[in-house]
Amino acid sequence: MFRRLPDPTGTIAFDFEGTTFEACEGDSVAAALLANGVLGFRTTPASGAPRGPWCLIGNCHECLVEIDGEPNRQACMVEARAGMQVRRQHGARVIPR
Amino acid sequence: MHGDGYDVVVIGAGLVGGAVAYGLARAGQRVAVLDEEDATYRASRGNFGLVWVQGKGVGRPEYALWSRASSERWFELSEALTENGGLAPNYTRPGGVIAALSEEELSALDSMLAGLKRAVGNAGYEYEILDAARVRELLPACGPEVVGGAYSPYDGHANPLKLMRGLHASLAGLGADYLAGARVDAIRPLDGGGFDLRTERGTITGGKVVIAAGHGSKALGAMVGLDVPVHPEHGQIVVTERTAPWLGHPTLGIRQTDEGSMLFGASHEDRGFDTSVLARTSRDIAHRAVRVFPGLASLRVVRTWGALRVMTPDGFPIYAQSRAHPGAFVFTCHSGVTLAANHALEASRWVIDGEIPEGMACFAPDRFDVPQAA
Amino acid sequence: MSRTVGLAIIGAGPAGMSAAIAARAHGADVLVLDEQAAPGGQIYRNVETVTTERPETARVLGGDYTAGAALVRAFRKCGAEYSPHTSVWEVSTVARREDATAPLEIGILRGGVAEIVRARCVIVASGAQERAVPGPGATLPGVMGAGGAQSLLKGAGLVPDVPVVIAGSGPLVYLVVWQLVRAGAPVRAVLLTMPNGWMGRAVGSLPEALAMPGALLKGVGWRRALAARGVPVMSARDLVIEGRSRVESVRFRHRGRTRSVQASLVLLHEGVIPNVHLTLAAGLDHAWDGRQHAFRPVVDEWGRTSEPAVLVAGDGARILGAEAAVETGRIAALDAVYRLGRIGAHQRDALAGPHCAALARHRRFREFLDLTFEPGPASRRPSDPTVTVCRCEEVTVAELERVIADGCPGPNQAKAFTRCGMGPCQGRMCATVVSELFADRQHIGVGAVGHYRIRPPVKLVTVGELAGLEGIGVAPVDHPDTLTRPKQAPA
Repeated sequence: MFRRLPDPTGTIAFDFEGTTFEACEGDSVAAALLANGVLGFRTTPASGAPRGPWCLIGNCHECLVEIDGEPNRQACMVEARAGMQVRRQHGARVIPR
Repeated sequence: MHGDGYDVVVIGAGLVGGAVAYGLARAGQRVAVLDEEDATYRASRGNFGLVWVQGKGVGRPEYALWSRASSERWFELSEALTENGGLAPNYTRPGGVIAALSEEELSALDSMLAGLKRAVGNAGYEYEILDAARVRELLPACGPEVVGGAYSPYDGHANPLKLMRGLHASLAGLGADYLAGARVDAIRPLDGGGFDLRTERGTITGGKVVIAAGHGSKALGAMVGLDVPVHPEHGQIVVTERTAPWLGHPTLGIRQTDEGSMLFGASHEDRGFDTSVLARTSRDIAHRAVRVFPGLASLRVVRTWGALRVMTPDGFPIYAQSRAHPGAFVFTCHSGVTLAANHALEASRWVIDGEIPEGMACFAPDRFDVPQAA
Repeated sequence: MSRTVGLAIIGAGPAGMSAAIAARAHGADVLVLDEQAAPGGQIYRNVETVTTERPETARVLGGDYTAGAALVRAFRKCGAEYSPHTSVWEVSTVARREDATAPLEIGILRGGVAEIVRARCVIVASGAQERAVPGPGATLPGVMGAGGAQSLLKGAGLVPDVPVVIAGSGPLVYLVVWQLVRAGAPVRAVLLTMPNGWMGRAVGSLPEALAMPGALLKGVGWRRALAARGVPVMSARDLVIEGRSRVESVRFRHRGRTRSVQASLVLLHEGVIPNVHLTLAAGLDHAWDGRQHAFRPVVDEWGRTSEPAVLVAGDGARILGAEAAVETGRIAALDAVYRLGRIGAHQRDALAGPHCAALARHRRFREFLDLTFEPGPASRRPSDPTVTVCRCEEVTVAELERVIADGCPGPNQAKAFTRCGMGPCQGRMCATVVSELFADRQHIGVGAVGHYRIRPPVKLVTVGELAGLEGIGVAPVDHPDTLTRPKQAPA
């Protein structure tokens, strides 16, 4: 879907729904997922329609994912870190018990 | 618009005006409902959505019974609106809880509800004081600070926005005319009965007029000899992102909507006609919410509201027909959701046949004329 | 209670950075609050890293972008207190309405802590957002803003390697296409949505535009580069994005014929509009700008809003571009330091002179751009009833048309009736469209329709963060409910 321009950057590894993904240091979670071919980040609470990032600057809230157990995080506003656990956001969030 | 005038012109298209107008239209009256602009004061868009009985009527047990009757009639209203407007306001009555965060709060609840039960007498008043274990059975998510609470089977909730839209849709379906941007400048009683209303959209004539204009009711009432001593009370509400069903009972101040949002409220502040929201007040509301349900802390706030309750000197409704100009009515209260069923099904009858329904007689504004005991 | 700064600047883009530099030059006590990890705003996003560590990304983005590094360097050195990773969810003027000497209260969120900080003067430099582009299929994964794609390039050096179609109107369309083509992305088509003939209207302002020949030549350069690489550039109407769970193709009409292009990514862009949520939530006056088709705060020549201690600089006041933002930032800063008593009125006016002159040239050029790249009416006022207007709550054109037809008095009532604008984006993606739809269907001006009433917090804060809000000065209190509290003893 996307390729990386040939600039030297450090890499990190994180988990996306059980698969290990590689990303570059400084990537947002949204960039890291797109770089790994993920386009659909969430499904909507109203109808369950699939959605992916639109604005990538924090406005549209289309890129919501679950990060380290916390639902509805804006993937474009969170920096990807080594060891992060990322999952798609399915519909309305739940309140952790 | 009807050239020969309407049977009734209702001034105000909020929850009170909408409900009365709906009852009138349902009974076959030719009705016009007058509304103002989009940005006017609208208590009806700032509603919390409780259909609440518990604790209401301290000092006036008739109000407890009036509220309870509405919570019963709500089932009928909900069904009728679904049929007429095609939109269910999603009324449910799973019973409501007031959570107590201290022994003082709990004992205050106990004595308040015991007092109401005594005052209501033979009419009966069911409630249960909950200890720490029992409150957790009803609300498993409540936190360690919750020491107990009170439960009433009469309490429920609805979606106030769907109620509002359902009233409007039903009115349209029943052939009532809805006129936005029609602020009323003057009401002129006509010789031989009826009223001319001068509005921004021309003069509108009605055989009767119902004033349900919230804060506008004071000035409008004065035009037909009705004293409507209302003042604004600022209330603020905090609303979160949607979450999966989580809370089985509405509580006083915290409930989950049918769409999944959590609502927290509400504050009570005297800020004149200022409708802005204060961060401090939102903080206070959020602070109590997480003490009751610590799990709510991770939810994101997507919106806050500030709206002005239409408050009377004693907090109870004002229902009256003008003595000077029969056919002119005023209906106002700050519980437009709870009392919607009464307004649609009872108040409208009063307007049509002139017989004051039993539960409404004690809410005439002349009660404020009684000198206070020394 | 937390301290009070002289000047708080919200946003570290070109306007915010230049305002900070200018205010510091006069010794003001300046706090700069910015949501991003590094200064630069959206236009110079990540410019420090790119210019020092990512030469290929720098080459692709070009000189206009890398030039931003100089401004960032100057900002870093200016002595302003810079607070990155800080979102601003409120500027409150409430206390000030009661006491004209009271400071402004700014609600911030930083590291999971919400706090109120105070300032005697605020410059809002929160920039612009891409205009929402509602249309058939526009919510499918794989449809992004062209500016969004550019953010990926700036922030992460990401370039599409699947077939891309770019559609819309605006100088950014050309810039992004040019950058992607330079990076070797497979751009299949550039679809221009401006109605025919609007270019003709723009010719009238060409003489003014020629006062900025450099900027004009940039446009020519992009067009030439595209032609040389064989990227088709064509006018397009009735755009439909097709696909089941993601983008597969784009269908459109070109010169009366229906055409289709296979694509895995579609980048849409119909220009940018001011970010007005913060200033709307502050209760400041706003107006509809009929030329830019956007709401903007009402400001005077200094950037002062209806609360003069709150100024707006940069694209948040009116879309004029990054170079103009530098000027409006400086101009606003001069009025701020005047307000703080650091310079007199004469000195302020004299210092502002050259910046105002430069700004006037940018304004004339922008008028040319506004006419040339007017956003296509199909996305401004969508007519297809199935189109989603509110992406969060999935409210369609048909639902809005129904409430409008029923006499709904405006966007706020429509919001209450349909949930349009009630989702987590807080109406950012639908507000302008909803107001335009009302105007269109009711045959009135968009200004008369108005905008949703926006309330703080305009950035999402959790309930827990709000409950722990710091800097207020009074402890939390309970608000006993009127329902259960007698107002007076029974008569």
